[in-house]
Amino acid sequence: MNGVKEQNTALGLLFISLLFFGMVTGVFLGFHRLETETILDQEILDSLQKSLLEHSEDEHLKEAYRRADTSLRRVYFLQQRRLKMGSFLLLVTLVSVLVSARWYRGSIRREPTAVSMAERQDEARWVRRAKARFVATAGMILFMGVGVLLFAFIGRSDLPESESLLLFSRRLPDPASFREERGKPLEPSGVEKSGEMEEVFQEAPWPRFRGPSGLGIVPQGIWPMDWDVDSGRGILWRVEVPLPGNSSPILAGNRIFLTAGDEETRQVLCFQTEDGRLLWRTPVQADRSWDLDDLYVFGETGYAAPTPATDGRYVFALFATADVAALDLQGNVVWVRNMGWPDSSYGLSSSLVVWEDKLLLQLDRGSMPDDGLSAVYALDTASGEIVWKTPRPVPASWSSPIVVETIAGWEFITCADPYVISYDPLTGRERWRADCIYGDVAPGPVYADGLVFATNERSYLAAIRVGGEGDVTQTHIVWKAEEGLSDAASPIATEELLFQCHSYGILTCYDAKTGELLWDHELKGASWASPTLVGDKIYLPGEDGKMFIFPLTRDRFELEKVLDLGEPVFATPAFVDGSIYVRTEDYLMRIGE
Amino acid sequence: MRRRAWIGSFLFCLLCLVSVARGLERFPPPEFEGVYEMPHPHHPAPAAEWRRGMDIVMLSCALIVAAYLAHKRRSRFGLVWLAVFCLIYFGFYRKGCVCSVGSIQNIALGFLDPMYMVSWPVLVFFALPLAFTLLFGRVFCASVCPLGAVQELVLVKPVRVPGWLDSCLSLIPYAYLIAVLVVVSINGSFLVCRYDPFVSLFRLSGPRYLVVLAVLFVGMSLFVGRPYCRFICPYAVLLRICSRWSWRHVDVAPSECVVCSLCHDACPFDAIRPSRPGPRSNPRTWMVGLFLLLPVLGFGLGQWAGPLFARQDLLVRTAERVWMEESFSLKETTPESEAFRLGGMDPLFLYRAASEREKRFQSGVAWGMALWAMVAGWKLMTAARSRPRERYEADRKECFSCARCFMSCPLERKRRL
Repeated sequence: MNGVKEQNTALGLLFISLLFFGMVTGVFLGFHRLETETILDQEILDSLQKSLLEHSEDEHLKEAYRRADTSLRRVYFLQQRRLKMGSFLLLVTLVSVLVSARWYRGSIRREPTAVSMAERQDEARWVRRAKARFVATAGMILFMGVGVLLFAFIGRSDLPESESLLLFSRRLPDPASFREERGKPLEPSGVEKSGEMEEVFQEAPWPRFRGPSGLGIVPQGIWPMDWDVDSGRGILWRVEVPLPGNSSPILAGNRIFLTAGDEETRQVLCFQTEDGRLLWRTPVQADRSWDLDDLYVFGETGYAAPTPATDGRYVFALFATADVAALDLQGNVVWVRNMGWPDSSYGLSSSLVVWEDKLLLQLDRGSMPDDGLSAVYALDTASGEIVWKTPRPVPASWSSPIVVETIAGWEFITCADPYVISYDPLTGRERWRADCIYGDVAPGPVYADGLVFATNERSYLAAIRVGGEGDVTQTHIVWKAEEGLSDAASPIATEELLFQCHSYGILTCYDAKTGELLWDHELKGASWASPTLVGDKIYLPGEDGKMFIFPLTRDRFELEKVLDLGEPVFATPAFVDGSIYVRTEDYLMRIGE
Repeated sequence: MRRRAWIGSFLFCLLCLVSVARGLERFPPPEFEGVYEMPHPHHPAPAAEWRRGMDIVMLSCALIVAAYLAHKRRSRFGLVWLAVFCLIYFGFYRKGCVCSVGSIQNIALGFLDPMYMVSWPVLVFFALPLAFTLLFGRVFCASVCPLGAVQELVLVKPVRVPGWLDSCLSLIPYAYLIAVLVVVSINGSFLVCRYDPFVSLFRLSGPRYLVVLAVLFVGMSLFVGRPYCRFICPYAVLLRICSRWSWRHVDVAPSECVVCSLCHDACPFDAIRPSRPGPRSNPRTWMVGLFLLLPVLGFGLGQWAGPLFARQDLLVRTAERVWMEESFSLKETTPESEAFRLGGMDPLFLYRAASEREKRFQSGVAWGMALWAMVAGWKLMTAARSRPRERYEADRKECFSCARCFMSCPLERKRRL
C-alpha cells in the first residue's frame, strides 16, 4: 500500500468508526440513563403503598401492587442489560476510533525539524523560560493557598454562632456530671416483700459471679459428693423460682439473691439459706429515654443474665434493659438508673463487680468498635452516681470482668473483641491492652500467678503477663493456643494448669506456664455454666441437668461422678459453708448435709 | 479494491456486534412470571488465593519483561503490546484492583492503624514497582500500570504542554499525595479509590461523577500525554524519587548524542532535557529564604484552616449539630442528629470523638500543608535554576521509559540497520 492509499484507507476507517461511535453514543445517551433509578423511587409504588396502608384488606389493590412491582423490576433489569451492552459497544467503537485515528496519524509523513545551534545558544531564551516557570510555579502556590482558604470558608458551617469544636469542647462539663440519667432514690413503692426486716449488713461469702475472687476457685473443704434429687437425699431444700433467669446465685449472710425477669417485670429475689423461703422480691424499673417495646432480647439469654453482686450492705442488679439498681438487704430500692439503650445482639449478660465503694460495670454495646457505645463504668455504690466512665473501642461483648490484685496493684480486667484491657479500678485509667481475642466474646478472663488468661471460640486462648503499660500485644503475650476454646464458660486457672470447657462438652487442660495442651476430653452432654474448682475437684453443671465432678490433674481426665440435678442448669452454683446452691431452670436448691 | 475489502470487513464486524445486542434485547428471558422464589442472600466468596498469587506473578513478569524491552531490546513495539496486555489483565480483567496507586493508602493505614492489616498482595503491588524503578527507572509506568496504559494507547495527536504550565501543574501530585495521607490518617477514607478516573472504564459501570471523570481524562489523553500520570498520580511522586536515583535508566541515544533535538520533538511528555550551552544559574539567596519561610506559612495556614476542613467530616458535622440543638435550642433536627439520638449513644462521647477528630484535622492539615509548602518551595527554586547540558538526555524523574524517542534518534536508526 503506498502512502496516499494507506492514508485514505485509514481516513475511511476513522470516518466509519466515528460514525458508529456517534451512533452508539447517541443511542446510549438517548435511550438509557447512566444511573437507572431504583424501583423504590417510583411514584406509582408510593401511591399504591399509601393506598394499601389505608385499605390493607383490598385484594385488588394488593394484586395491582404486585403487578406494578413486577413490571418495574422487569424494566429495571432490562435497563441494566442494555446499559451493560451499551457500555461494551461504546468501548469497542472507542477502540476502533482510536486504532484508526492512530493509523491515520501514523500514515502522515512528517519531516523532522531540528533545533539550530543558534537557537540553543540564545541565552535570553533560556532565561525567559526559567522566569516563566518560576512565575508560574509561584502563581500556582499562591493559587493553591487561596484555594485552601476558599475551600475552608465554603466548608464553614452555616449554623448560628458556629465555632470550633475545639473551643466548645473546653467548655464541656465533667463526664461524671454531664447528661447522664442520674441515679434516683426511689420510694419502695410496688415492692413485694415477705418475711421480716432484720440485718442491715452481712458478711458476703459468695458476693458475685464465681465467688469472692470471681475466679471460680473454692478452698479445700467438705463438699457434697453424693445426692439424689428424686428421693431428696442430700438435698436440704428445693424451691421454685417464680420468674425465669440465667443469673447465678450470690449470698450475703443467710440470704441468697437472684435476679429474674421477663418482658413484663424484672425483679431481684431474696431467699433464706436455712429453708429456701422467699423473703422478698422487688421489681426494678428505671426511667428510660427509650421505649421498652423497641427492645428485642435474645430468648436464650433472657432478661436476667447478669449475675448480681453485693457488698454485704446492698445488692446490685443489672438487667437486659440496662436498668441497674441497688437494693438494701430488706428489698428496698436505694437507687435505680438506666444506662442507655442496650444495643446488644444477644442481650446484656456481663456480671457486676463490687470493688471498695464502687460498682464496676462492663457495658459493651453496638456492633462495631467505633460505634462509641461501649464503656466501663464505676458507679458510687451509695448513690449510683458515675464516679468514672472510660469509653472502649470494642463492640458488644458478653464477658464478665474480674478485679484482681497483681504486682501493679488492683486491676479491673475485661475481655471483648479484640482486646483484653486492664483498667485502674480507682480512676478508670487504662493500664494495658492486648489484641488477642476475637468474635462474640462471652468467657470472662481469669488470673493466676502473674498471668491473665483470656479465651474465646474461633480465636485464641492467650496468656498475658501483667505489669505492662499501653499496648502489650507484642511484649506481654506469653503464649497462645487454639484447641478446645471456650465459647461461653469462663476458664479456671491455677499456678500450673488452665482448664476450659466448650459448650459442646469439650474439655481441655493446658500447662499454664507453657501453653502445652496436656489433655482433652469430650463429655456426653453440653455445658454452658462456668466450672468451679472446689479443692482439687471441678464441679461442672451440664445443660441436661447433670453435675460432672472430676479432679483437675495434669496427666489425664478422669470422671469421678455424674450426679443428677433434675433440670437443665445454665447458672454457675455457689459454694458456701459445705453447701452447694444451684439454680436450675425453674428451681433453686441447696445441696448439703 | 483492497481498501474496500478492509472497510467492508470492518463494517461487517461492527454489524455482527450490534446484531448480537439486538438479538439479546428482542427476546428478553421471562422474569418474575408465575411463582417467584426469593433468592437466598449469600456472601460473596473471598478472592481466591491463587488469583492473588496470579496477580503477583503477572506483575513480576510484566515488570521483568518491561525492563527487558526498554533496556535491552529498546523496543517501542514490544512495550506497546505489553501495555495492551497489562491493560486487559490488570484493567479490564482484574477491574483495576488491586493497583499500585491505591496501595499507598493501604500501606499508610497499615502504619497508622494497628487494627488494620495490610494484605501481602497489596504490599507487593506497592513495593515491587518501586523496587524495579530503583533498578531500571519507571518501567512500571511504561507499560505495566493499567492507568498509564490507557493514556499511552489513546494518545493520538500529542500537544506539547508549555513549560511554565507543566511546571506549575507538577505541584498537584504532591498536594494529592499529602491529602491522601492526611485523610487516611484522620478517618481512614481512601480518596484515590473514590476518585480513580479510569475505574469506571475498566468496570464499564460506575457512578455518574466517575464516568464523567473517565470521559474527561480519556478525552484529554487524546491530545495531552498521560495527564493523570504527570499531573495527578500520587504514586508517581514516589516513582519519581526512586527513578531519580535509579541504578540504570534508559538512554535516548545508543552512543554519543549528535544534538539534533529530534528526540525532544518525539517525546510528548516533555521528559527530555535539551542540550544547552552556557553558564549554570543558581537560586538567589532570597529564594532560599522563601524556601525556608513557606513551610512555616503553610503550617500556620493549616492550623487555621484545619478545623474548617474538619467540618467536611460527617462525625464533626453531626456533633456540631447535636451540640447546637442541645445548647441553643434549635427546633429543627437533621436526619443525622435524629439517627444519632435513636442510636442511644452518649452525646458526650460524640463531642469528645468529634473534638478529637477536629484536633487530628488541625494537626494533620497543618503538617500536610507545611510539607507541601516545603516541596513547593523546592520546586520554586528548581524552576528558576538551569544548568548546562552537552547532550539531550531523558529526565530521570519524568521519563516513563516508553521508548518513543528511540526511533527518532538517527543513531538508533543507524544501529538497527
